Amino acid sequence: MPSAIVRGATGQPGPIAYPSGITTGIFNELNFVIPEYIPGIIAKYGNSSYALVMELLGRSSVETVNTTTNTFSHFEKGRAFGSGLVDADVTSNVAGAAINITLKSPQSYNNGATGTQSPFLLNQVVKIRSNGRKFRVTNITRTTSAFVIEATPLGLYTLITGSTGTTLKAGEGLETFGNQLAGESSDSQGTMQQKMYRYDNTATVLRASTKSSDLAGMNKTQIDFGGGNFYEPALAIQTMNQNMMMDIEDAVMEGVPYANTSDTGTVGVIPAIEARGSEIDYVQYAFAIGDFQNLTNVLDANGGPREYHFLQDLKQRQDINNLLFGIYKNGAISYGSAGGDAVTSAAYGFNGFSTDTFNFHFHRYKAFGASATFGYTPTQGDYRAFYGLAVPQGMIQDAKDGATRPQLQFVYQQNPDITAGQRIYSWDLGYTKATKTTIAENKYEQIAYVGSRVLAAEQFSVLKGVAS
Amino acid sequence: MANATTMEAPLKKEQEFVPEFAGLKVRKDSNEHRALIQEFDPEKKYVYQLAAENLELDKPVIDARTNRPLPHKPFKPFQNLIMTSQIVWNNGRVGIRYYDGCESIFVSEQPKEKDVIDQLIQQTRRRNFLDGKLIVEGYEKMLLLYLSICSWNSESLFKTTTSTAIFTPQNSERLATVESEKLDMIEEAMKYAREASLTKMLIHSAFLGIPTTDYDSGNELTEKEIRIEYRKAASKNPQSFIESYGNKQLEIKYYIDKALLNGTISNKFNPNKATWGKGNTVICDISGLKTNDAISQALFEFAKTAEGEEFVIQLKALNES
Repeated sequence: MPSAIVRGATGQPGPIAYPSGITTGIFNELNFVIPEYIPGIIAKYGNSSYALVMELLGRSSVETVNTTTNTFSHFEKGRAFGSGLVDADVTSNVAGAAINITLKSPQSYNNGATGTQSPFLLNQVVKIRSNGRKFRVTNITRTTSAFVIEATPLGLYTLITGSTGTTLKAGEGLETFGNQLAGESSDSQGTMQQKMYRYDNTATVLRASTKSSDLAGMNKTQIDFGGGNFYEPALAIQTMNQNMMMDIEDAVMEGVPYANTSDTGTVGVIPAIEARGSEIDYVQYAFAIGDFQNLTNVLDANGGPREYHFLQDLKQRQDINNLLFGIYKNGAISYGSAGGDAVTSAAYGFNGFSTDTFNFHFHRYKAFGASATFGYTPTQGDYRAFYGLAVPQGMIQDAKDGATRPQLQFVYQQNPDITAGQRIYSWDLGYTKATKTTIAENKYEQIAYVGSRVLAAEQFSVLKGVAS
Repeated sequence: MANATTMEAPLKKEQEFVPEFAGLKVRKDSNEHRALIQEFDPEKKYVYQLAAENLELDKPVIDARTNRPLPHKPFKPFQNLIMTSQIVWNNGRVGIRYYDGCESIFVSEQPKEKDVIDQLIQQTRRRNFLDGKLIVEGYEKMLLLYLSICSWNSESLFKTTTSTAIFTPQNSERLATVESEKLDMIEEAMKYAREASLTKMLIHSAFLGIPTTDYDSGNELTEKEIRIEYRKAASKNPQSFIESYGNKQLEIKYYIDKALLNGTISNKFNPNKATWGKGNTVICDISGLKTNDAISQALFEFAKTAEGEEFVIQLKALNES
């Protein structure tokens, strides 16, 4: 016997009739619309430009090298030609008569724990800078704090400053030459050697980590974080990568002081240049051609190469653009070579300018600016505003091993267990990784050991706009 | 009020201007006036020093021949002098610039013709700070005037608040005064150190961290031995020596520490109370304090209160007996 109507069945009364047809009201009930979206994630403040100095300047100006020890060194030699300064006025009123000249320290001799090193030797011929008069060194008294040379004129004249009077003035320049008047049956002369300097620096250690729980790592999102990865930890890892690169850049360029800690940091490129190189100041918003000439004068005096790269904050770049475009109205700005080919240079935003036998290439270096990198406008001072760093492009010969290399280096300390050349070592561990952990999470780790090396920092220069 | 006496409004005191002084109108005895009439000794040299010193690098430069560190160089080897500046002059922003041979440093008083200015720029020698120092001859009056009032001078009375301080004048007389004051201070501190009574010296030495026992042998130092160290401390840091010398608070602290050490004050009867050792008389509450330092500090704080006055009297009496 057939049963009665089955109890428990659901779904009655079936479809709903819409006498006026379907409207959007149906979505309010079901709410299942998936909006159209761009799967990739957009950078609100533009693509994070690494603006790494290595990419900007090319391998002819910046080099990456390895070290096997935490402390690494290089050697530099000083000037080949000796000079001194007169410490106090000396009277010279008898033509041809010898006088005793006390020299100024440290410009003329090293007056410290290392003794009285000086370029002056017996029988040397020395020239007075103000008038070109020459004398012979006939005696030297190497007393600490009172280094005295006896100067006997080569000609029948007095040893004075300028062309009139009877005084060799304090501050007068004395330039040493060899024995230019050795005469017959001459004996051997004294020895001179350039000063040698050792510059040490250390690699600092940079660490970064990202941790993601099991659930955070397994919930797929609709956002493509790059490379078809739709899982959120990918974004955190990208952020870690970007931060690590900028950390390295900042550590090398600005340094990591450590005197007040028990750790070891590194002396940065800019602190080294500020201590040893030159600084040219100009008035903000009023860069003039004379400021360029100040710069070329000092670069020339310090033996800088023909080609220089400027890393500048945007404000200084604008100051220079205003000057150059103001002077060269016909657009004679050359987009020339910047350590690579012209196309590459242009792609990185260099443009060049030549004056006084020097070629300058300009590049805006984002890391100098707070606004572009960190998103705020400093109100309490900005030590890198209107700031520029002139980096010589050239290969310099190492005084120790004779190798030639760029003058700015990123020095990475190598771990023998890590693949050679790997600058940033990354590893991971966690419940889905090769190295298992008890907690259901994954950890991503990064480490880098890096320091800076500046060769012949004297040839670098800082160009700084000061507020009036 | 018809009969009210009429009064004249007080006359506003007229400001006395020095007419056309150096091409400018300035109020008599104002800073501007004083700046313009200042005199420079043509026989002297004036020295200016960079305001910012190089930070000492963590790694010194080594003389590779002797393998010894070279002395730290406090200043950049080279920095140029900016010849243009803006200053606050007569309560307004005014431009000044220096050209060799120009009779004024005030832009408003300088030639306006472009070719003349170009000529002035070309003939002006560039000045630089070499190893942090700029030396100017006393006869360079316009340059010295510029240097004394420009905004780059950290001591300029006319400096704009926005400007960067680049250099400081090295006034040798002022430096000598500072040096002389320092020497006076050393002499004063040494006098105190020589003449202080033994008790006073011991109290002060405790504050200065001068040991009273020989570290190696453990022997008590004699008065003579302590006084040598005491005098050295006076010459090393005279200012803090003088400031702390004869400080009554140090005396109380010393007596408290001494009483704690020899057991005159203790907490053995009740760990939460500091008591006089023998009489078991409570001085003050020290609940929760464990170390001698903390208890000493609590007693010292107590001594400074009105309730602690008697404690101080007793403490002094004990030490003077």
